[in-house]
Amino acid sequence: MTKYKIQNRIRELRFFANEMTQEELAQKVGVSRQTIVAIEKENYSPSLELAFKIAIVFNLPIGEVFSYTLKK
Amino acid sequence: MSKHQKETIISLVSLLVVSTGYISYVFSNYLSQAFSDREELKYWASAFLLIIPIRLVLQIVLFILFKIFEGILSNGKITEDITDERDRIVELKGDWISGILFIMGFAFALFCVVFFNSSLSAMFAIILIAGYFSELIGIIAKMYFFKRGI
Repeated sequence: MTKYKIQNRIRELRFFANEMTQEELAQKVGVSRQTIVAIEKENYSPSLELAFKIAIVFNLPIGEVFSYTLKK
Repeated sequence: MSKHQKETIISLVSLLVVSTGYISYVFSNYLSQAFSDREELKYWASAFLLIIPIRLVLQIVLFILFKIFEGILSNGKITEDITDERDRIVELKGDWISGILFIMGFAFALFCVVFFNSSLSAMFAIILIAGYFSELIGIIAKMYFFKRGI
């Protein structure tokens, strides 16, 4: 069975959003900083709701923040 | 380290210190006395009932002491930590692992009674030990999930 994983550009987007910190992003979406760290490291796949909230913070469609790619 | 990771460590310390001490006391007390069948059942029943409030009270005390210690170290700065979806998933997974292991231990205890003719005391002892190790492994699993991800 082909394995996929959810990747994201959150770290890059934070940088371009006036160097937003992980703590600031966490507060905006209502989660802990450790959850944002885990998402950026791809150790945790956020729920659909959380993924949408993160996309809204960056004013981007969800597909431009997260991608579902084949595991290498 | 998040609030939940710290609470997991407190649970681990509470389990290792309190439960280990209590279980050692239960076994040593049992071995030093002679019981009739009725008294034996009563002894094990009271041992199981007592562990709940003892663990609860001591965990609360440990938690309060930890908060005081943390407050002193951070110079009174109180940071509010929230319980989010990842914390809940980690807690659920850890509790699930713990539950499965306890059920296996319980089934093993019954298996010993049926197939090896083990005594009532042996059955209760296996259940107590199964409870201890299932909780220990559950806590370790939570710490692993917090550190490595789900």
